[in-house]
Amino acid sequence: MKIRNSRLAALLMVPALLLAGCGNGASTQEASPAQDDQQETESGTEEKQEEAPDTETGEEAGEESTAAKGDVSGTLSILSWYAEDKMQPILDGFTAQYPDVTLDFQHVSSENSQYAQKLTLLANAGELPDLFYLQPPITLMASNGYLAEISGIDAVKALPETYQSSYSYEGGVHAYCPDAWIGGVFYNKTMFEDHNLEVPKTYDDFLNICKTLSDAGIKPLAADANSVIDYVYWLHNTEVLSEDIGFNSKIDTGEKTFEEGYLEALTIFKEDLVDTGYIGQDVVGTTDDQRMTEFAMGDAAMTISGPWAVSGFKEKNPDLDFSIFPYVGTEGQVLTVGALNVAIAMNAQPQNQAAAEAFLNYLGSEEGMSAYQSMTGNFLGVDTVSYEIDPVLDPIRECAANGQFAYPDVTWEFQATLSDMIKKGVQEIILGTTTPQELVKALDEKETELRNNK
Amino acid sequence: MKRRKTLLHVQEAVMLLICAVFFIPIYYLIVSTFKTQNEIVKAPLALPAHFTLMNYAKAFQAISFFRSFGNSLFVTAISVTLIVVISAMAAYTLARKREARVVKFLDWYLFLGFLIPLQTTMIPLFSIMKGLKLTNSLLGLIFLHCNGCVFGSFLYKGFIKALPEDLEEAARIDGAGTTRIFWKIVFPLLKPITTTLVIFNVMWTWNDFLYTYLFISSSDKSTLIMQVYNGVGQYYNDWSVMMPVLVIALLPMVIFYLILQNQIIGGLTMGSMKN
Amino acid sequence: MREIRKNVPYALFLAPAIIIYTIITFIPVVWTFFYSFTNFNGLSEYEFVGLNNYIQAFTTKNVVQSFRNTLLYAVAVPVSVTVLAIPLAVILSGKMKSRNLQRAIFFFPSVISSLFIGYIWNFILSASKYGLVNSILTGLGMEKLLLLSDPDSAMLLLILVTVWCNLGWHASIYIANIQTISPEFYEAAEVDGASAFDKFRYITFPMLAPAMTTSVMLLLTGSLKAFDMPFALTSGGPGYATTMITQTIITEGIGANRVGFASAMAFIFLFTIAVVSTIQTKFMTKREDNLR
Repeated sequence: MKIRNSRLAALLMVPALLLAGCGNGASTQEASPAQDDQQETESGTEEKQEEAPDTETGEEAGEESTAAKGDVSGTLSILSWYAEDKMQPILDGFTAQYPDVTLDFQHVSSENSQYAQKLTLLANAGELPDLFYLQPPITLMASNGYLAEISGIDAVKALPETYQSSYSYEGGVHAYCPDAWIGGVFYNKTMFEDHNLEVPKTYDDFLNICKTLSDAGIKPLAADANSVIDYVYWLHNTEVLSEDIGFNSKIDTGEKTFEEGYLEALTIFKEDLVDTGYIGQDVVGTTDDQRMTEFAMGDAAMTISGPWAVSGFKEKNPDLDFSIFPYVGTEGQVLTVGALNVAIAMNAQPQNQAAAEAFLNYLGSEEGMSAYQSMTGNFLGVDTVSYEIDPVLDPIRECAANGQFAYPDVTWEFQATLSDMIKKGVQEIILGTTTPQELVKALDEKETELRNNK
Repeated sequence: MKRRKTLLHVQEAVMLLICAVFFIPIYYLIVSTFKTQNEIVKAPLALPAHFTLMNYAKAFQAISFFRSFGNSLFVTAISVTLIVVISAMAAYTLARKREARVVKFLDWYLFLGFLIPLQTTMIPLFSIMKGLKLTNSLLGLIFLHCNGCVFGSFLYKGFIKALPEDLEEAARIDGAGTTRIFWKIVFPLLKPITTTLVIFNVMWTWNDFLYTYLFISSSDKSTLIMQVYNGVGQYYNDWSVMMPVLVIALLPMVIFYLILQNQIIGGLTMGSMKN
Repeated sequence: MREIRKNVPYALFLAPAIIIYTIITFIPVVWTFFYSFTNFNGLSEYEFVGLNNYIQAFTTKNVVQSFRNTLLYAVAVPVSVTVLAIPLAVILSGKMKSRNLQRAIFFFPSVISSLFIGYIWNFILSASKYGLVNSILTGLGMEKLLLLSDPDSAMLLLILVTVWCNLGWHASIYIANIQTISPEFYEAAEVDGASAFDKFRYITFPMLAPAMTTSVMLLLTGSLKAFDMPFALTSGGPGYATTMITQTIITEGIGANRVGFASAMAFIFLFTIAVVSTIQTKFMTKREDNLR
């Protein structure tokens, strides 16, 4: 029995995920009843551009005539992933340029999937703000017509192709993401020097380092309950994704299974890191902050994290001498940890479209970009702005430039369920209450069940 | 007799020791707020070597204290007042008309409400609140907190049942209406149990987090606990900021407790569920 | 006619509570019941799927486990708090000089939001070397303990922390009740040569029935509905060892856009709570009636 109309069919036909979308959206859009909302919004966008063709680049946008800005007024509501005090410089910069706009700033913490819940509640009640942050995958929101197509906005056009396509649905960009976090394995330089260790070139080098350190009575790895999964994703990155970057989208379609993509990584993880004691049971009762402290205080030699960790390490221990290396595979292939950041989407029926577009274009301007970069501390996708990244991260700069980074679970359509499941499963592997075989079997069964029930 | 006195001293000493252990987490929280992060890690229970208020400065920067404090105060004061009034009235009917079949049914109907966690009903509830135009509004939040009247009427009901009906009968003979009897005669007698109810509900409303984060969106309407919670997410890696934020959020409740300390027990004394 | 007019004020008195409750609780519950037979995802249209969601709930491993965890927690917390709070209340009603200070200290944890209690205790009980307990132990040259990283001890510690924050508050409820017990009973017992234990066994304990009804009911419904504290303390881990059903409803259901499934879990849960609480209230009220 079907209720309302048949948009579900449109959802099923569209495998629009990472790297699947291409082209600059607007012209390749297929007309279908399901797309009515977007079509309208889109044509509205184009009209606006004809009226104001002078917003070609961010720089020019900054010099736009005051008359044009005068048109932008009213209240602009934003649901933010970042807290107000962090966003403040950007908000201030925007209101300085558009003094007639009043901001209705909203924020929900991303802890415990609260952001996702709130977004669902707002969407279901038709209460979405003009602009809101969005985590991938965007398929469900886009296919149900909640997101405006924003391919035509200048700030979006300025983004590199991969950034656009990652947040595309049916060939049109539906969320704006200008930055990516890229991380790797932080290591304690002093400890490495003391034991004549060098940065690993292959995964086996890494295991040897762990052994040397462990034999010398040093805890090789600091990990916590939630992020210990990164050691499994490491091998998935270098052994599976480096061959086939689209692997995880194929899990969504049923073409590939968790067994094919993760069993080997999980087995190596268990045998070479857990059974050897490099990762102990204490990990499953440790929080992120605590393992960061362990690394910073020199109680462990290595830990996997991203750019946000650097300032924390320095604050906890100003004397720490540390650096970072990327994920390396068994053959020396490099594919480190990283993903595009959360993106900003526009409501398909915005209350204040002009201001919403102005906000995105302000972010895309030079001033906006550098403010945004200093808020997130991430690598930017655009090269029009120069910014400082902590020199500690220099060894992974190349990965950022070459796009050699991936984070597997962000692309799963049923990420919310499956990512929780695999994380808990890895905890159970450490506790010895489940095996890699059982875990991949459970994941595959759950995935099939979710896909069939869609 | 002397032996008995010694025993009392021993008992007191043992109890004070237990209290000390019981208090360690709180002590730890408070003492950490005056230390640098490095010191928290190195000497967790020691008194601060270099006393610093920097953490509080950072904490005040991270949360907009005055605005959110004002919101919390507004929501708590109005909600608790409404809960008291609505519960007392409802309980009066539930107690005095308890023989009527419809009242019996409604009593049972209300009891069920006690059992339902918000997590299970939030999607429909949000749609309803939107229909009433009460989302993202402090009035909406107050309305939601008024659901506390279910527990309130339960507490009052037992107390009212135990009150003798003579006074009410006398007043009725003198020609007073039910409404007048309730407000002039019954309600003042409810004072002890009212204190108890106020204490419970101030605690619950002030510390509420689920209603607030689900139904309030705009930062300028956020409550103090919400601000602290957002701080937790943001400063999860920096407990030197986190802990003073927690202390700031606790402080109003501690002051509230100290003011009402005697009434808390006293209120419970009289009120305590005279069924 | 006059009879009805006389009853109007009573009806008006009850009306606000009934209206508020119906809007905030009852209608959403009915709505949830309806959703539980659909594959609603919170965002789009839906189809009826019959009992599918219920079958899934009963066959999903972690749903079943979180049910079990919740039930264990909801039995252990009321029992331990009651067993400790009654003697504590008796002691704190005694003649100690520092009585008020002690009451304040025991009461203090209950004014803190339970979410933050979880965060504070996580910091104390972490398995890391930098957890407070472990840093003291390693400081004394001892081995560090597994604490929150062992499934069984994680559950035990979760219960202990819950007891820590509820004990003082529930002791206050009992203290209040003790003060209503007329001293004559004790005087009479003393004449009969009753021991301190006899006095507790035959006078204090039975007379505490009214306080017990309220206290146990609050504890039972509170621990069945527990959400913030377990999450902040253990995030439901290690594995699913301390995952509560409310947490599963949120992460497996609403967070994952499976509102239909979440509603089915919610309904099974509501049914369980209703049965447990009704039995508990019946039992407790009977005990109170025996008192008269």
